[in-house]
Amino acid sequence: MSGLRTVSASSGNGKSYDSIMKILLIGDSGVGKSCLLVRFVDDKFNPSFITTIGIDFKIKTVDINGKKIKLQLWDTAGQERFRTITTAYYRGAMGIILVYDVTDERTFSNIRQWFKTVNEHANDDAQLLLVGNKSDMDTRTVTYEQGEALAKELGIPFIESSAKNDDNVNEIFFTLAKLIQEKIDNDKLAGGSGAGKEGNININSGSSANSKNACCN
Amino acid sequence: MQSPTTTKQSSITTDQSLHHCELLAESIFDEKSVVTFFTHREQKDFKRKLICSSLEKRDIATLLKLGVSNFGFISADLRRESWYLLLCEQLLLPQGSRTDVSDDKFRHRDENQVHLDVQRSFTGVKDLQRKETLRTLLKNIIIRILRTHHQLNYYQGYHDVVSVFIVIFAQCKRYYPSDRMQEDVLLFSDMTNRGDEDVSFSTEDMNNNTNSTLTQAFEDKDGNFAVDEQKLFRCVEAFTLLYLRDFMMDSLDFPIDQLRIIPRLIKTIDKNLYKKLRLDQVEPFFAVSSILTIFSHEMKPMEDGESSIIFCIFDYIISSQSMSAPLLMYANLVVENKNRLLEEYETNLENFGNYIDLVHGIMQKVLLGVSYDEKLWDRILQKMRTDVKNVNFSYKKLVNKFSVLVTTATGKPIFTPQGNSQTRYDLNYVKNLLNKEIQLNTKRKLLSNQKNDKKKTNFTLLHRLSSLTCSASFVYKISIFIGLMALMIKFYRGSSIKHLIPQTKMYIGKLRSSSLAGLYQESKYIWLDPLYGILQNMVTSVSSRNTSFVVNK
Repeated sequence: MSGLRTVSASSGNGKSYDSIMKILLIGDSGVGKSCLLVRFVDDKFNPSFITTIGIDFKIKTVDINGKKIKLQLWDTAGQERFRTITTAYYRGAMGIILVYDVTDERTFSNIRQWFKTVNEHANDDAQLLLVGNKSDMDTRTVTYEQGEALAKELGIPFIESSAKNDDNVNEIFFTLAKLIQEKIDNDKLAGGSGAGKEGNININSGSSANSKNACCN
Repeated sequence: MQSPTTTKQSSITTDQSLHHCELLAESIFDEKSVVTFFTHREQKDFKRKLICSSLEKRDIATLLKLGVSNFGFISADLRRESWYLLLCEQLLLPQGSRTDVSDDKFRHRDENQVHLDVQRSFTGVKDLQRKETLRTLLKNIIIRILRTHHQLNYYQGYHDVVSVFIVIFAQCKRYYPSDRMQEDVLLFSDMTNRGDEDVSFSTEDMNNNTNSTLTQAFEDKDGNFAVDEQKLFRCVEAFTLLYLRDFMMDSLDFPIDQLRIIPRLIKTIDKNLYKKLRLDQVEPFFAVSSILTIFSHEMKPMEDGESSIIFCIFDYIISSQSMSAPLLMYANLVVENKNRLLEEYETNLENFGNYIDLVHGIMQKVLLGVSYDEKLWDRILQKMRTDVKNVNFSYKKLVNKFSVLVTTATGKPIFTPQGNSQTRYDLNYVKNLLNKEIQLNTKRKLLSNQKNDKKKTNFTLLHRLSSLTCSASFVYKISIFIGLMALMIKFYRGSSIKHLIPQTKMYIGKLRSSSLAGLYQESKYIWLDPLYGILQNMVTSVSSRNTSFVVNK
């Protein structure tokens, strides 16, 4: 049951990438999922970015350890009623980013609910990442430590970011992509039999915001 | 202008023709009619006159046809009056004043979400003050709708639909010929630019969520350029209750029912495309934003531009009183882009992990790219006008029995012979429908939750079973091992599977005889421990086994 599966480019087809990773952004409405995505893909910021209805997706190719990786980024609607639709797209996701707003405690406490939804619908070996967005705001109600503690409890890495100031936005996607790549490499080493599931992976991306131990789920 | 050659054309140019507009309205603005002889501008001017005269006479039947035909209701001023007249005809309100819901005790549970979405609306408007004005109006209208009809649930995308009405009603107020209208637009924007003096609008008012500040905000000294909020509210209310009811339940179950009609429509139009895109296997979730917002999420309504497509789409829907129209439009949109979709399908086959992602990916890529293609949309609307009667499709079995598709927005009045009275609904009747639909939705939600729970328990049961086999106690493993070994030895000794057949026959014979003799216990014994027989037989020689088999026979 290996859900970790990169879609390899067939040789001679003139494709400009080595593999594709499907990554999903989830979290309450208004936490800044689309803003993070637009900042990462187009390097733009608009405080009143349009509402996402249903599902949107964007593509960005990045370079990780010399490999060209095409990131397939799926942005989801935050309103609860859309979960029936958005969960249909969890299948095959290799990375899932759970986003909350550091100025809104409700969005933080809802992360547990989102985590539960992920466990119900996503592949067992999908790599998760917790992100506290809007770290530039003075009106913060959720501290860095609280975010870190929750991440530890859920056994996933944690990053605080600001789409507005472009703080740690690239780190989110690069950290996740590296973790996924490491998992794939580990799987290959173990003969692709799904072994190495219990192994801890160290993130050495140099970002202070990363937790030291990332547990795979 | 060239002199018209046919008698039909000459009759158009005379003023007398206005009296016969009922007869002409239906066909005259279709692409293929004689009117294509004239320029678009001439056609529009003529149509404007027809609409004006129909509005004056309150000639609903003609107005309906004008709304559906080419250019729709032409411009914001005519649109506003036409929509108002038609929607008031469609939803009748009881007499008497309505309760004021501005007090916070009427607060609706979804107001927080409304606030979040309104902050992200009208992103295309460059003038900041104008943008804030429109947002305030949008927020007030939505909140008033929700507070007046507390059972309705707000969904993300409803704000897009309402913003179409906002733009039409905020553009200018009075009913003027086109040249005057231009002036009005200028005056109105001029007024908002002058700032705090004329428009008592500030960011503080924004945070103050009361309706009283709103009335101040949109009225100047003459009252000339004020948005008629009452009329606007009346239109949005009727449109919401008659057309959008299915979308405003507690879940997306009913909208998903509507979405699932789209692949079926595509199948009736182009079966080949339906098969190639595997639409029988893929949920049509890619269409959710287009349908929930009636295309207004993809095509943001803007205050400039008379011929904007999004307004023509709304003209069509309101005039035909049809919520199946957006579904058919979407199906046509897909079919119109067939070649590009198939092309993208082929090139992206390897780029996606499964068909859900692939179909969503190519639909988004191709359809978003063409959402502002006016010519394409003209073709689609033209198809709607001519081919819609040919698509014989019953929605009855696909949606709930109180759905807008089979009750209040069926799209039927337009197809009945001339002179029919429009399908009218009483507010209480519609409220009753709404309550029944909510009840059904709750039932359905409960059912689907139960199903999910069942699935989960099934899953855990399976999981447990499989884990049992993996981590079962040593005794189990040993016994299974012995059994398998016994079978293997048997095969080895018998060296042919043929020997197994008489063996089975023997068991069946044993069972039969024992059951005939009423010896159920023995039969149980046989079936509970078939290994016993095999092992016993193994001990005896091959020849004796054969004789026992003969004896049994």
